[in-house]
Amino acid sequence: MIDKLNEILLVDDNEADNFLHRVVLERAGVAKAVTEKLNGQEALDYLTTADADGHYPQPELICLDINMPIMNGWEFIEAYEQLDPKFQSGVVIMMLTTSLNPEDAACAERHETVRAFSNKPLTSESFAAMLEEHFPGRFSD
Amino acid sequence: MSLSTKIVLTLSVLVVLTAATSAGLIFNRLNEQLIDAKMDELERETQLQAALFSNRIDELLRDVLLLAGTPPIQGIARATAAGGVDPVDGSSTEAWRGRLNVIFRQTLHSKSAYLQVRYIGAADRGRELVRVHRDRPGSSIQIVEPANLQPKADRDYFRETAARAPGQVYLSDINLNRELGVVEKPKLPVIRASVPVHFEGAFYGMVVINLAIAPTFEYLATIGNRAHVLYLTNAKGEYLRHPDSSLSFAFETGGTHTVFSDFPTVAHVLDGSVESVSLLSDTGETLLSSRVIPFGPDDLGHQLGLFVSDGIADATDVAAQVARQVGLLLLILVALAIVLGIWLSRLAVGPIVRLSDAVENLDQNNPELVLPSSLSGEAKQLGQALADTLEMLRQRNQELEASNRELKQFSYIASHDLQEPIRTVTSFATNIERDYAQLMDDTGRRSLQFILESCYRMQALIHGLLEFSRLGVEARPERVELESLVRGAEADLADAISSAAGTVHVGSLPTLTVYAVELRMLFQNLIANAIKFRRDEVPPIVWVAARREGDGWLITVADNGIGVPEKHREKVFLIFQRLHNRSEYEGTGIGLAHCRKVVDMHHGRIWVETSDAGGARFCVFLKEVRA
Repeated sequence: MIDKLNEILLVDDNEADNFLHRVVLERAGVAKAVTEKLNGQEALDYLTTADADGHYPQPELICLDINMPIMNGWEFIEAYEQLDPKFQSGVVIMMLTTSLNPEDAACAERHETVRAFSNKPLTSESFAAMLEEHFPGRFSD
Repeated sequence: MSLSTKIVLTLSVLVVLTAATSAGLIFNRLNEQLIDAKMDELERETQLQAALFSNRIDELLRDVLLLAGTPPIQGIARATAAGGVDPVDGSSTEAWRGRLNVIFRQTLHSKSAYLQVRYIGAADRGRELVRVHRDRPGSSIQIVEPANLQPKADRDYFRETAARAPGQVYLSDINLNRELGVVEKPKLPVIRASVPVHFEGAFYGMVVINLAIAPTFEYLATIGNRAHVLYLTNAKGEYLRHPDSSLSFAFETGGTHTVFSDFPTVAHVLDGSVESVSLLSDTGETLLSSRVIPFGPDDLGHQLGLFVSDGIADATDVAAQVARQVGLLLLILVALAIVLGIWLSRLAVGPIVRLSDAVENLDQNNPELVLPSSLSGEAKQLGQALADTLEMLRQRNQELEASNRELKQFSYIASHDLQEPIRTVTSFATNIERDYAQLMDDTGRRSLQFILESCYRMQALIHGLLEFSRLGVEARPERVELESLVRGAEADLADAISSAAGTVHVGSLPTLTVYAVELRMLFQNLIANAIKFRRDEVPPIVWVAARREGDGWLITVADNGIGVPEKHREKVFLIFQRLHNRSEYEGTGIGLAHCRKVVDMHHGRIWVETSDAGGARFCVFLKEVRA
């Protein structure tokens, strides 16, 4: 039985990466919806804007790039942690980076919100392992 | 002022101060002592003079008494009274007179200052009975013939003596001798001592001695120091002796000078209140000593005033001598201080100078400090510390140069080597798109599109990186008109500017010595940015201006575009930093990093602020490059 995630939010200024990740996620078929945002600010705006019915988007997984213009990954985390807890509950944030540099790793340690760390681009295998770890039982028989 | 000059000056000043102070102290003390000693000397001198004078007067008084007691005095009286022959021993009056002449003559013989010795009778208006005299002290003695004897009853001394008891001596004032009532010339000051002679209970006559007093005065003057000036006065303060001889006895001829008017500070000894006074004159140039000498019978109240002045010239002579010696000593000390100072400063400054020479002569390319072997002590420590620091700096510099070289090489090689594979990928991807795109589904085609875009971007990045690493490698400063640089950059951007309907305003710009190629690139980047980051629907306008500021130039490139938010104003100058999504504004993130590197080459600064039009104003502070 597979319990699909409601929504996965991709935040990356590189549209190619977003496209690539969307392909991987759609192949895996683990999410009902995949949304792309090009930087932290857009993502933040998206999360805090209600639709016509007054519902806020509730992605269960946010894949967050670090280097982005306007608002980078870390700035997004800072702003995100200031949000009302209702926006944060049950959300897993995964930081994505091209090269893992020690400063970023140390930064990730400081933020509890950051649950996972992964090299770009995501592959089917690394994505599956991540799901297994952070959403146990939802994608296994 | 150099250290050595300071040392020499300080030493000299110290020496001069010390020497001058001690010399001054010694000089003062010496002066006081000299003056004290002189005062003592003066006191002793006047004491001695007083004693001598009193002795001389006493001798005169004794002589007159002695003469009055000789046998012929009474013999003449007896013989005369008896009608020509002395009833006691049968001598005639003439015989007694002859004997008295002999006695008087012998007296004058033995006392050269006695002018006259006389036996004056009371009878016949005080006619002289016997008179032996000389004209001047020491001149020949004459026995006056009876026919030439004069009456003296009208003279003061005659009356005064006649009034006295037998054996009671009278002493006259000291005054000028008068012959026949006229003051004798040249002046001949005399004093007369006389004693009354009684015969058979009645006043019979008197014996009188005239003493020339001038030799006594001159003798007193020779007792003291020749440099001293002696003034003698009578009880009224009138001069009996004055260094200006015309003032001696001037009172007898109407003169009014007295010691009271000339030496008021010491004249009061004549009042009898004190015996002697010694003091330094108001001007501080002379010492004055005075003493009063009472003489003669007490009832007559004779006084001699004795005043000695001593110019302290000899004291000041000594002082001047001391001053000369001190001056000489000072000169020697100053010379010594200068020599010592130079030696000390050599000692102190020499090593520093040698050290600074060694530092100045360093080989720029291989700065290894060779310490002069003569250094010692603190200078050696300093030198060693300097050498160590220099060595450390040299190593750092070498490391830095090496890593800089590596970095340049790295970015150059990297960009070169990266170009090769990316060109291959681009070529193949282009071929695939051209030949096989229609065989793919949407995902495939979109993937291929991403590959191509990434390739172009990679090529642009590599190109930028290559330029960035090359920047400044072969830069040569040259003198250019900045306006032509800006116009050139504008021409290169002509397409972009016209398609955006933009305008570029160029103010008056200076002609400077700069790295022209690089600076043109800077203008091109800044103008391109101003056109690129424009507001939607607003035609971009760019203003380029310059103004002198301090020792450099402030060049500004302002626009009416979207501006740079406050928090990104540092970040924009870092390489590969982008503020915008590529979809909004195309770019590699190298342009402003490039600009900063150009500004660094000119040792300037670059920053961004908000322009008057609400856009960005890039400010570049430049200094001219030394060609």
